[in-house]
Amino acid sequence: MVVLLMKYIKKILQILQLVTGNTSVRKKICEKNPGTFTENRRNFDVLVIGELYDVKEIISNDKTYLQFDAPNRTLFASFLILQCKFSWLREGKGKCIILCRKSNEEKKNISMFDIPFLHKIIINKYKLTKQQQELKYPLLFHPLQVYKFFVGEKYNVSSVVKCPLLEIEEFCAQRDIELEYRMI
Amino acid sequence: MGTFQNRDFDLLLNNIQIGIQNGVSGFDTAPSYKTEGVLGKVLKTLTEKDVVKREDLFISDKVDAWQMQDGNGDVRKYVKDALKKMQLSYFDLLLIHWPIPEYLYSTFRSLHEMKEEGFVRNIGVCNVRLGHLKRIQSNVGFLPDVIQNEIHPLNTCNEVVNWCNDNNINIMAYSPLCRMNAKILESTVLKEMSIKYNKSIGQIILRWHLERGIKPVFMTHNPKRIEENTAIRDFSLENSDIERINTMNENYKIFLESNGCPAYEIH
Repeated sequence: MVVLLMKYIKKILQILQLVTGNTSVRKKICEKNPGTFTENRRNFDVLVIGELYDVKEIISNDKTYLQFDAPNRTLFASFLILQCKFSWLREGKGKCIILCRKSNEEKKNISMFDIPFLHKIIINKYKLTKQQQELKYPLLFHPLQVYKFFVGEKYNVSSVVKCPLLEIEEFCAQRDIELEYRMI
Repeated sequence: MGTFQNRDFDLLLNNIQIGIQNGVSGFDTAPSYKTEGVLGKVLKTLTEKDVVKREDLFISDKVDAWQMQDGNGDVRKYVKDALKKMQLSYFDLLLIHWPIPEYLYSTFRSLHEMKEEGFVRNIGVCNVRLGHLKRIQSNVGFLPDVIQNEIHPLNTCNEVVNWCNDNNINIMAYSPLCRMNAKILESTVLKEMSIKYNKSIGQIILRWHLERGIKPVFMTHNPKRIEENTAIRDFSLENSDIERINTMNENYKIFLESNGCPAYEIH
């Protein structure tokens, strides 16, 4: 009887651990998205969006920047994030650096890591309920990606090339944003 | 007075009552604030107690982005629902909360139809730039009655304010005190004026709004602050002081436009 009870308690504790683990991982993922009231700074010089990347080499020390990075982020997802976050930039003088692996340039995937950055109407438009659910239990659905997100090595080699998605160039030109596209 | 983050009935009732006693007649809400119901209940209580008459109030509500998307611009259903929720027969003002490019014109047409039918008295758009107003005019054929933007000394919106004043469009400012940001509190310009006019920094800023033809929509939980914020009609600022505050502009916004409106058009 006692053994059975201990077994149950152990199971409950494991579930609890899984739930609380997921909660803190989700919190960490969402923390990458600065809050309007928690982040007082505005008018950033540079916005870096895309793959996990060590930006020390590509942004000079005197520039202020925000980085929204995640493993395996597609160019399409980076564009959606740019649409929702470009106002963090200094108007008229801001620069956006998009970093993407060659293999992710054509893909249209949007992952649970992109969800915190996206506006509700984009989530509705692309029917991202599955990704929203995954973000509730990131350890359960994407343990490897979560591992990469926290302790995975960041890329540090890339080359500046023409952005393969013409729409991004047009979007930036209309909003006076200097675009730098870097292929990894 | 705004109702953002003010969902407690008793607190709102007390604050609105103090606001009315001090000459405030306009009360603002939005679906995303989740205060439509409580504001409606408060106003119903006050009109039933004869504290104020409905016709002496100016009640504004908004149409949120998801409603524009869901109705593909036809937002009548949501407006009717909001009126029901607030126990009102009409809104004095209905605003488009964010100028979502895909649905802006169709939603504005929908608002115009509701205005013609009489259950909305004035229509407008929030968070606009000059380009939005000009495009609304050319695409829909008429201009809004009101705009509501984030305006304060750190974000003076000079271009749109001047244009609206020239075109008889009423201007409302939300976050008119920039939530008393440290840059505002520590501003030498404002501190000097505070001493010169013997008014608080908040009163100086609110007066500056009035001098520019702007109606500030302030929000506070503190009854004393309501009294302070409304005691701004017994003095005026000199033109040179208005200009000095105008020069504090640094395009600092609390509510970033692309956060509320993906692909926001800046021109």
